[in-house]
Amino acid sequence: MERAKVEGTRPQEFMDRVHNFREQLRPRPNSGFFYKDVIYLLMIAFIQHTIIPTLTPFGLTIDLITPWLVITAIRQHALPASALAFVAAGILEMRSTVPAGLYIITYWITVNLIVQVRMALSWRHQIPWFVTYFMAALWVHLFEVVVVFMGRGFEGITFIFTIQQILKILSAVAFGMLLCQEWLKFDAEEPVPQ
Amino acid sequence: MVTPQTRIFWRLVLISSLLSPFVFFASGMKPWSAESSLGGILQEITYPFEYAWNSSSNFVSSTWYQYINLSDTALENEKLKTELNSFKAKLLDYDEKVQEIGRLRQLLGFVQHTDKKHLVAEVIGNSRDSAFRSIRINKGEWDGARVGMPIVTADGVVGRIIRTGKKFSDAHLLSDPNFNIDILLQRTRVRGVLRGYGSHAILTLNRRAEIRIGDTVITSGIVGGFPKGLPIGRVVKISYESDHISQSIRVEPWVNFERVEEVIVLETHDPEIQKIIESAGKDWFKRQTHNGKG
Repeated sequence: MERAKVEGTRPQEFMDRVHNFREQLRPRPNSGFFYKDVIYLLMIAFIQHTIIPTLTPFGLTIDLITPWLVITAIRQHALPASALAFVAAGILEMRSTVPAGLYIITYWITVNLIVQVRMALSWRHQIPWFVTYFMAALWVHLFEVVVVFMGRGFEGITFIFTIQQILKILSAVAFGMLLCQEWLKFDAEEPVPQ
Repeated sequence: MVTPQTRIFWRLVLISSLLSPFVFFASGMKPWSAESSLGGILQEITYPFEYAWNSSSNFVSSTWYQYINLSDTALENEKLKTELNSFKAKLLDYDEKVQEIGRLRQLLGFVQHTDKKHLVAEVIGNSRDSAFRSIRINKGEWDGARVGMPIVTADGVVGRIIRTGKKFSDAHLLSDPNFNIDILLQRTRVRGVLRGYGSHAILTLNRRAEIRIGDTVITSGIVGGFPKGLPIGRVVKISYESDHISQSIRVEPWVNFERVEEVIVLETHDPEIQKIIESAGKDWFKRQTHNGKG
């Protein structure tokens, strides 16, 4: 009887181990190791810049890095969060022809502001996450619009460019809401480091 | 427990970050050209994956278009046959003209045009952001690619290399706002500077310059390392500026940047920069920037 009980638990143990292994492999914005965070940032940038545009018929441009950094800024201590923001900005700026510093500045300000206000917000609700993603994406992509406007005036703000910016903001919010689900559960851990 | 000193430190960090856009706008607002920064190293790491992805996606799409989706091929074949016949007729005339030009060059004592050294590269990435267009090619420093080298296709000018990795290079396209090129209007031989403007390029000329819709724009060969006579694009719109002095000409590039798969990197150097290097030494640019003059 005792033996049967022990044998009966084996598949469950195996499933738990598979689940744990899968959880360890799953990319997260706060893996606990700086090198892993950098690798995940590279993966996200690769998906954003290489995979998505080739899979979509019109070369769809989306933004996955901003929500990833928003969670990094909420979850990590200030110093690693700022360092990861610089790494992400570096990856993006070295992959395109945007003026040097565009993403470094926007992401640095985003991370700094989030670090300052994160203790005052309750991250158990959807609204703070939604507003933070939206404001961060709006700030980053409106800054791009200002840079384009300063370089080329209203002629630079074309219809396609406007659609691309809107799509980037929407995709950033949607991807961010998908990422933060684990902290919206009733028994979830507190996302902000205490 | 947050100490007052820590609070002051973070307030200072926040204030400095909020002031940083002013530093950005006061800078030259040019893309990175440094080859050994952290961002550059991370690009080197991702390059093999990018190459693998590009190769496999190209294989899938070529299989689809070459073996499965053949509905338009017969029609296209007919059209190409007609075009081929007209080109054959033109070629007869062209051969005659080439011989004539050779004779005239000899007569005038011109130096015979030599073929430039070049690299054939594959496009492995394309930044589709409409405001900042760039491509990534699979030839880098190890293959002889250098910053500033022109990139062309059989259709015309594509862009110029702005950054090089060990096995890849990034190039900004003709339509990128940071791209400038010295040009000639083929018909009237008027000279000007063309600059990228998103999906097209803009040329500003004196209002008296004679120009028509459909005129072809070619490289002047004077600055920028591009050989003379390469096609760039055609004039699609002319608008007069409110200053009553100049006219703004919209040029549509001949090259369809969305469909560029292979390019030619011309191993030429800007003659103007070569002159500066000869007179001021190889490290002239570094010295300028270190002295804070650049």
